[in-house]
Amino acid sequence: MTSNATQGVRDLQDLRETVAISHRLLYHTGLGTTRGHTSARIPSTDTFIIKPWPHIQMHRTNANDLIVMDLDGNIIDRDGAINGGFVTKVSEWPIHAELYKAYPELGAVTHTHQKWASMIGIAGATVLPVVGAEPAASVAEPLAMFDEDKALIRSIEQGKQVAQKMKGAVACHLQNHGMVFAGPNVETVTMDAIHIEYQAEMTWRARLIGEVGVVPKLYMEQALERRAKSEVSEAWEHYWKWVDQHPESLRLRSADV
Amino acid sequence: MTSNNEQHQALREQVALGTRLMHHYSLGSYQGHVSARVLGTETMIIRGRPDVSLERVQATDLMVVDFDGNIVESSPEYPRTVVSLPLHAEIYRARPEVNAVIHSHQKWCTVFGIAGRPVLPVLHPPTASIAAEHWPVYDETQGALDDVTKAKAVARLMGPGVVACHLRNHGMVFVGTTVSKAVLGAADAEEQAEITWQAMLLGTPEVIQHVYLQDDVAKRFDPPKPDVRDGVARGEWGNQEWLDEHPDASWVRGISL
Repeated sequence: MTSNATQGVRDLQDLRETVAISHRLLYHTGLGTTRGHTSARIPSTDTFIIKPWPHIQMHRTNANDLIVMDLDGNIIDRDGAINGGFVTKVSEWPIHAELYKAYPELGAVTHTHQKWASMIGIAGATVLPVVGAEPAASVAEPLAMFDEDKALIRSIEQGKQVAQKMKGAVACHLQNHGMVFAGPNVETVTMDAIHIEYQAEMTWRARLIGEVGVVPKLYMEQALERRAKSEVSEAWEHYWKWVDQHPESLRLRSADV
Repeated sequence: MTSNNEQHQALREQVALGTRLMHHYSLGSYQGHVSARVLGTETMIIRGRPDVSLERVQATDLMVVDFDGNIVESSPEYPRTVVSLPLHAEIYRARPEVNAVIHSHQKWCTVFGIAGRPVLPVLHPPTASIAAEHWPVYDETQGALDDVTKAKAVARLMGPGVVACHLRNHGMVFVGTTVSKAVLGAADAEEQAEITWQAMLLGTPEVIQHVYLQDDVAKRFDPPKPDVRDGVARGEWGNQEWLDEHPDASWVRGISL
């Protein structure tokens, strides 16, 4: 094997590991338990790494539990996955495939049923940038809203509709269903999910007692510049290095940052 | 072919697991009961140890009682009976398709009963289908359902197709064809209730239209069959058995799916 090929294998294993960590962090931050899935496009290909079905606990998702699919829904590789490969694809794979098809620059997608952001969508309200320049920047621009169809996104046509709605957006409400986050890499979409959940909770709490003040865009500029350059959030370092090893450290904090 | 004895033991394990999951899903700590009909008999298996917290209940902590409240087989550690037996018994008598009943004092659903407001189907259609219809409200209980007259009245309210009932100022009843369906129905309902409550404080919650729920509602009392996709089967409980082995995991979850 040439050294380039060896490097490629190592990169792929690293990417698998990052996708697995994303699931564990979504669990530790209270954004999901079994349902919900993060995927990552394998760079320069039309294939992506994704969590399989039957769902495994997000808490114990490991790199070798994941499968590889193409954008047409074919399973390319499930050899390493749990139960010796007796797994299949999640029914909502078209969310991921159609986003990757529509936007070649996208490197990662995650879908959750996280409570606070989903609830704000159900209430027809808006998640506002209310706390901390860095986490608030995830919601500096309004989130997209997909409310045409309340069924699970199991067809390519529905996937296309969601992808259309998400044009340029960090996140999209699937009203009465959950959230979708799309971005350049796994680190960014995972932190967007965590950050937006926190903004949603704090928006709700503040709205119940008064006028909601928002973080001025000026203060979010640094974070927005990093986002424009597809740089990974600083918070990610804390989350994957410390929280993944010490999930009990989040015990009292729910989705606090 | 498994012997009657093995089937009976397996059903005991299901009731014990369902009882422990009440704790893990925040449906109760020491109050509440899961029961299962012993098929082909007028008896049921139900927790017989009021002194054991729900999360610690094992198969040996259960008893077998007939529908008149006579103990057929008591828990070795605790010879007495429990108060809410008639509720379970009268539902089994009235609803032959029901093989499991859960009675709980779960917080969020109970609040809606107290407030006289319906829990709405708001998040994730398959989960939300538990709240597709407004549940009946039994309005005369201020205490335990310890007499047959009260229990018969609840059973009358829970006619064919009805999956849940408020016991106003007291708690909830959910029924199912299996222990897993009844217990997970209660957990799904609790999630809808919490999110409905949160969204109501901001405005009028967007409700999932019946067209997205009707398939799941129609299948509710069908004979149980395994969930199979692409030849891959999922167990009856999904990942709840894992949760049972790792109850510490539930602290981060709140009620996320």
